[in-house]
This record gives sequence, C-alpha cells and structure tokens, in this order.
Amino acid sequence: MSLHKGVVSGLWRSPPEILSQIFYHCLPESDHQLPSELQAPLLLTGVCRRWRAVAVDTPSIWSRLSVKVDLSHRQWEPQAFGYDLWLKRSRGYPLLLTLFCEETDAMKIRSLLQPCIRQSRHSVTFGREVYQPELLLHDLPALQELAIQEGRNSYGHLPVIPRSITRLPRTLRSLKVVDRCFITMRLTSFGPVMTHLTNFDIATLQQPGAIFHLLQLCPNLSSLKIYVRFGYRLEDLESFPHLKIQTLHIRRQCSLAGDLSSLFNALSLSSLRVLEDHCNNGVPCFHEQLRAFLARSRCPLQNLVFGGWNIPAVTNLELEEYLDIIPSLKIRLEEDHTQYSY
Amino acid sequence: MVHLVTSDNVEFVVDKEVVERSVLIKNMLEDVGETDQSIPLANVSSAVLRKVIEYCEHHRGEPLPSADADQNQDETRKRTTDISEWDQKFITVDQEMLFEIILAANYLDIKSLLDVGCKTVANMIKGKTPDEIRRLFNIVNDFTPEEEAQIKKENEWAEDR
Repeated sequence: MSLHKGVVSGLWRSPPEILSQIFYHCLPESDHQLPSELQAPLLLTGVCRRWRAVAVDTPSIWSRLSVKVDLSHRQWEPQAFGYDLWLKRSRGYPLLLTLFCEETDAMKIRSLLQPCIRQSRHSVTFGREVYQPELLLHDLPALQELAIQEGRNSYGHLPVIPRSITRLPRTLRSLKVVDRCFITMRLTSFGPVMTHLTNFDIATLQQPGAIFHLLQLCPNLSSLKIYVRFGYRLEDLESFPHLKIQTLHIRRQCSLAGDLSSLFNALSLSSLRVLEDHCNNGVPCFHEQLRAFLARSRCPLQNLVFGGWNIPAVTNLELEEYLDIIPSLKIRLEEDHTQYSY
Repeated sequence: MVHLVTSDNVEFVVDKEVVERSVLIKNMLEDVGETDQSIPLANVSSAVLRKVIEYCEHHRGEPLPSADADQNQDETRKRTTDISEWDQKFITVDQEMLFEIILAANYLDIKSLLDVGCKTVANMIKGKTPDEIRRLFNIVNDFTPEEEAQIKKENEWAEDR
C-alpha cells in the first residue's frame, strides 16, 4: 500500500529538475556550517534511490563546504574520504569554502583541495582558528572571494593576513578581513590585488587615515564596509574623491562622531547610492558635516540609514535638511542589535 | 482576455496581464498574436488552474524574474526559505495539491510560484530524519542492505553534528 501511495504522490512524479530545486532550498542557511548527516545535502542521499540519484547528480547542492580537521574523537581518513566525495559531487561547480584550520592542518586541507583548484570560482572563508592561511592560498587561480578572520592567539599580530594577501590571484574581487586591530601599514603590503577589488569589508581600523589609504589603493571599489574604533585623533585630511563607491557601510563604537565628521569633511563620493552609519549607542555622524558631504558629492544617494542599539537621535529638522539636498532620498532610523566588536 | 482550457475541459477567461505571468503563455501569445482561440493546457486541471490564476491575480504587475535569475541564484545566495505571509497562506493546501501546483508552475513557467512551492516542500523536509521524510511523503525505502551500508559508510564522518 505504501509503495502505491509513493508511486502516485506528486513528489514522486516531480521531474528531477524540480526535485533539484527543492533540494537546493533544503541547504542550511549558514555558509559556514560543518557537514552533518542530519542536514542537506547528505541527508537527502539516504531517503530513497531516486532522491539519492538526483542529489548526487545536482552539483549546486555540493558547492558549499566547510572543512575542519577534527581529530578530537575522529580519524582523519574517513573525514578525508567524506570531504573528497563531497568535492567530487560538486563536479566543477563554483565552490564556496569555509576552512577552519589548526596549525598543523594546513597541509591536510591543501591536499584535499588540490584536485579541485581549477574549478571556475572559489570563495574561501577562513574560520577564527585559521593558522597559516597562506599555505592554503597557493594555487587557487580562480579565487574570487576571500574572508580571513584572525586566529585565536593572534590578537593584534596577524602577519598571516599580508602574507596571504600578497599571494592572492588577480581574480579576487571581494575581500573580508577581520582582525581586532588592523595595522594600516599592512595595506601597502597587499600589492596589486587591491586594484581589482570591488567589495571590501574590513575590521578593525584604528587609524582614521587608513580609510583614505584604502580608497587610494582600491580605485575600483564599489562597496566598502568598515568597522572603526579610532584610537587616535584624526589628522587633518586633504580632500579626496572616489568615483566608484556606491555603498558605504560604517560600524563604530560610541564617541567617535567627531572623528567621522572630519572624514566626511574631506571625502567626496560621486557614485554613492547607499550610506549606512551604525553606532552602538545610536549617536549619528555630525549632521552639518554629513549634509555638506552629500551636497559636495552630488551623488545619486537613494538610501541613508542610521542604526544603533537605540534608535538614533536624528531630529525632524535634520531629516528635512537631508531631503532638501536629495528629495527622493529614503531615510531609515533603525534599532540594530548586531555585533559592534570583534 | 485570454481563453484557457484545462485537462478536464473547463474554460477560463483570464485577463492578459494576469495570464502573462506564465512565460509559456506569454510566449505563445507573442507567437500567435491576438486570437479568440482557446489555449489548451493538457497538463493542468481546473482545480489547479484556479489556484494558479489566484496567485497570478495577486502578483499582477510585479516585475517578472529575469532570465538569468537562476544563474545569479548562487551569487546572491538566495537560499532563504522565507515566504511572504500571503504566499504562505495561499500555499497552505494538501500535499497532493501542493505538488500539482508545483508541476503546473513548472509547466507554465511561472518561476516565482515554482519557488514558493519548492521552498514550502523544503521547509517540510528540513529538520527531519530520512524515516520521517519517507513517512511524510509516502516514500518507500528501496535501498538494498548493501546500499544502506554504503550510505552509512559515506556519511558516518559527519555524524553527531
């Protein structure tokens, strides 16, 4: 009876391409979750022969993989077998990889990835435990996205970041660097790869001039997300235009509005469409300087967002003055409880 | 107005703007031009077409997804299984009707409706064991013991996570 029901059910009659789409939506939301037999795609291979055949034959559901050499209560060989099978099932589909790597694991992971390094596009995120990421960045000629987070013991001293970045291919377009204390000098060591970047997400900048330095090094940047915690007074900055930035997203901790206002005094962004200023205590940038910045930039700004743990204190008069400059501007004040420190 | 005839021979007269959310019908109308002739939909029953039209009516005037939306799917990582409140209510139907709607959306090429259907099924699958999934969809476990052992071997490295 159950066989009969199975045969006539709509799901049974669904063509493989529909089943593939359903399977794609079954993937976990997080890009950084370690493989689990209780979740798609592994889960789907154990339901019935048809599901298994469709799942194994759908490369897109095998294109995201988080790798961790877990030797706490497991052998490496079965893990290597499992990861290898997973990568084979991705069959050349662009890969999105998250690598968690203890000091001695880099070579294991590297040999695992070796067969698929020519796949058309990689996106790699290193987890917080990464050591020696430069070893893993060898031979990734198609890398387009990279995120590096500091290692556990690397507070304020993350030489692996510049060492890694100098080895990156020019295919890289999107870079995220999370270091609790990013030293500006490191930017210069990044080399020509910076010229081609279109998206940059960086934390934590402690020197105000770093933002300008960064903009100079990245003329093709269209999206910049910065987390700032300035430990220095802002030096006088010369005016600086950037022609390509469309999205500027600033996150900062309290009491730094003064420094940011000096930044906006010097900057002009003629292509800016979205500006977000998130401050943990909800104190927005200095209104006068921001207004002057918008007028000077003559940008097609569409969205202006002020965020913080409390709704930012922006007066109606200030809102009206922004609208005087750009009547079509959408302004949003939002309570935002996301992370303000790394 | 466009005349549609379903597999059980029921005729529907539908506003052109509404019915053109189906890329299949839109292309047909562009190919044949203005016509009073009915379009036969041999793969869609009247009960299902009624639901499909209800969906198209509600989403009338909204921009159609671009042709390369599938290719961009990965880049934008739109795996979200969020479904709008209205769509959720609309798709709260019995399982047989749910799959009929999915099949019709696929045949008529209505991508947004197909997405809603597939996401709904995905949400039903998530968080369940293979046994629970089989029970939910009346699927027979047709693996041989050897195949079961092979799958266990393949997946045991990812146990307990």
